[in-house]
Amino acid sequence: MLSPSPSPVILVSGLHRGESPQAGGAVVESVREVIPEARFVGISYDILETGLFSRGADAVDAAWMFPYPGAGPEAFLERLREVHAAEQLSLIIPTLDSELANLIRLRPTLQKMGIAVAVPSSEALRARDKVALPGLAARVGVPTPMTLAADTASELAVLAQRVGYPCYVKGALYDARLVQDEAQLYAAFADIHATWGAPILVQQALHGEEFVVAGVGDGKGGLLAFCAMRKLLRTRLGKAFGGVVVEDPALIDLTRRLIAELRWDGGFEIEFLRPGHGRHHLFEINPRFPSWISFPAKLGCNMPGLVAARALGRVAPAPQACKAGSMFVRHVADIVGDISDLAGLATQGHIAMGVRQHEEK
Amino acid sequence: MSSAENSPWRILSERFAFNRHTGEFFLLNPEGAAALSMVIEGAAAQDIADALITRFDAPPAAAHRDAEQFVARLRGLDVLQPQPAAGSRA
Repeated sequence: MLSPSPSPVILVSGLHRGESPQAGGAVVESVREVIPEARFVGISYDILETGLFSRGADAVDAAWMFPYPGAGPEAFLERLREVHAAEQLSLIIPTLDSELANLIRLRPTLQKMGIAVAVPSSEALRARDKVALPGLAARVGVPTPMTLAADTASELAVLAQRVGYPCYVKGALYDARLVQDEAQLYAAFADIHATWGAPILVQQALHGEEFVVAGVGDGKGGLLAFCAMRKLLRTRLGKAFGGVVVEDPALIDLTRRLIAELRWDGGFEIEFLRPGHGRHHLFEINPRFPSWISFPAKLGCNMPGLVAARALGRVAPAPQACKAGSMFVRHVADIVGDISDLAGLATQGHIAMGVRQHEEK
Repeated sequence: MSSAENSPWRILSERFAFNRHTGEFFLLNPEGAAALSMVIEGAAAQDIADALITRFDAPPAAAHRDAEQFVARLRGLDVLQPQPAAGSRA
């Protein structure tokens, strides 16, 4: 564990809060509540990530352009060394699934550089990926939609016959399409494969109420904090746009068993589907905080703050219980920016709040 | 602990029912709200029918039929299967 830094510098990714919002802004906002003196630096992959323009509680103090995670750990590390030289980083909190493999591999190097990184173990990460999920579900005794993987469209079409139509075609990390027949399956395969590569999964389509549990595992099988909610509003992409806290003993028991089996370390989100009034089905385990993680933080269950404090050797306020009936709705707002922000990011690859030309004078 | 404390259901603003286990909610008419409150307290269909007759001047035959159907419907929705309470704190 690192010595507590007086003013830690925390690198956070996933700053886009658009139609498919990422969790970075919610993480910044929550950690800032616990460590107000921290400096927040954003990892950005696109100059139009909305969080780059925020002036609110989720604003970063600076942001740096990074190569896409697909470029590999060496490319990431090369850029990180430049950022570290300028920013003296203390901690990295990734919020994108695609970053985790690189960061897990780089963790020993980062620790030597004096940078803590909030990632799970590689074993736990692999054990919850979409291909491995049925095996995990079987070990824990929770039903899960039938999910099969293939590297080619023709193989996937054969597997879809076993699953039955309609079914979902999904990328191993991102993207999902509901397909009604083989023609749509081939089209979905082509789209997802072109962006995310193989394997591609075909998954049984179940319908029911959607429940999600966000939490923090201690890495030894224990659950340090959690918030369970039912989605009230969803975007076209199925993302939570509103939710209400539930206190369902069955849901929490399943969560505890899954986290114990994985010995999960750090933040997570588990998605469940409950067809009718039947059993909860395990749908997905996301290996990072969800975009709605600032909601439980506002209820006194600040999980990003807890993760940051643990990583930095600090004491975080004890997380409070999230009371059933507490709810949130997302409210989209417009942020005013200036084209000079884009220019700075595009030409220099980084931006600091203090040098934004349109800042109030 | 009473039936009401064990039940996941809460009646808010007199006739808005919320299930704290499942997050389900729905709006009831005054008769339904009274009936659900009694179900939460552990009342039988006969007691609910009697209450509908005395409090809402419901015709006895309709009150008994509606109370039986209401309780059956709630049973189908798992409303009558209270679970032990649990907190959100690990």
